[in-house]
Amino acid sequence: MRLLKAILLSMVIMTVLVFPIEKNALTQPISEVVLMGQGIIVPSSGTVMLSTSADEGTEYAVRVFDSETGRAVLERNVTGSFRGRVMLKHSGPYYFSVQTMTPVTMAVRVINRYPSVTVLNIRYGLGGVSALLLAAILLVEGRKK
Amino acid sequence: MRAQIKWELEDPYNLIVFIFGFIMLGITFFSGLTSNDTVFMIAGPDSVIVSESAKNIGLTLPRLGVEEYTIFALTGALLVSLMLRYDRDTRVAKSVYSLPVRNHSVVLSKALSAMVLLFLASVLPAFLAFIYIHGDVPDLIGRALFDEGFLAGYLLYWAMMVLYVVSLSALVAMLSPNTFASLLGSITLLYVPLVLKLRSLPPAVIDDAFFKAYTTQFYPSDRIAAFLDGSFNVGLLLPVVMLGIALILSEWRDVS
Repeated sequence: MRLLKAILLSMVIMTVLVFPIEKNALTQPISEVVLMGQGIIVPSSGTVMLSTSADEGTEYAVRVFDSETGRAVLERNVTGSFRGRVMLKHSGPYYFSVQTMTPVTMAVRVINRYPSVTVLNIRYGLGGVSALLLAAILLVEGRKK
Repeated sequence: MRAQIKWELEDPYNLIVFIFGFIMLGITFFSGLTSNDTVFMIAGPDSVIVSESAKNIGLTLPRLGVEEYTIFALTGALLVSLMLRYDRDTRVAKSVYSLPVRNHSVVLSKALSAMVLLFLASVLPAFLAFIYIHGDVPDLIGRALFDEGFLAGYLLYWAMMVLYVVSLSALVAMLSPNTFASLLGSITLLYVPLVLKLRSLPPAVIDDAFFKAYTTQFYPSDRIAAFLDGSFNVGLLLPVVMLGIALILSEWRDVS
């Protein structure tokens, strides 16, 4: 029983501590340069600023693919340079690619990073349930004595 | 033996060390996961991209880097020294070891309960930190854990790490004169491979074997086989031998 209480207590403390740690970590933006195709695992949701540059008149396709839902978040045929923004709704892997024969570079920058609603619900849920369980166990034990 | 394990798992001192390890490891895993993004190269149709993403999210499951290993080794050494050495220092052991059970059985049950505690204190926060960050991609996590065979390999990875740390500390605890020496000795020995950057001893060898198995093999069974193949000698054989020596020593050495 003490082991269970220890596990629950550690879960509650860890859940509380997670928030300030994340707040510090998420101030840093993520920036990457993509030449052809690249998967990026982001640890939070956020806004992506995309900018691609190519010679005047070059036609190519820009694509951002969400592996979780299996759908493209952004798919666009572009001529010349392109600037755009995409919302990343959840953490996890995304696939950025430029489809072309001629050299095109894409700069990816994730700004405004924040935990998604699902993740927050999981944290509140797990932390809350363990806190309640711990409280219930303590209450029952206190009554017996 | 069961009563002994139960007793050790309920011991408040052990549980304080357990809570320390759990929270510190959890925080370290979490900040390690939030601070960096992982980049991987793939090309091909969408199905290839999805399966490759699942593999890569499996590879981001928290493992033991330098920071994490420090806390892990410290927790393990503390737990084992408390269980195996502290009771001998405080003379409590005289009443425990005078029970009608063999000495090695008492030591073995103490080592087993240390393993259980250390395993729980590392696997639970690892999954908790992972879910607290990537919990919003349930399909990919499910794929990574079951289709790509990460769950079995990952649990095996932790089991090996725990076995190594506990056996080494148990051997040192059996050899050393008191708790302080046992603690210092086991931390030093656990830390030496890290400082000297020895790739042929844990934690590096187990970590390398895991990474290699999951990046070069395609089928879950091949991956587990490759992982075991790469880490068998130092990850399983060496700890079992050390634990065996510790058990033999416990029969020879008087409880004092």
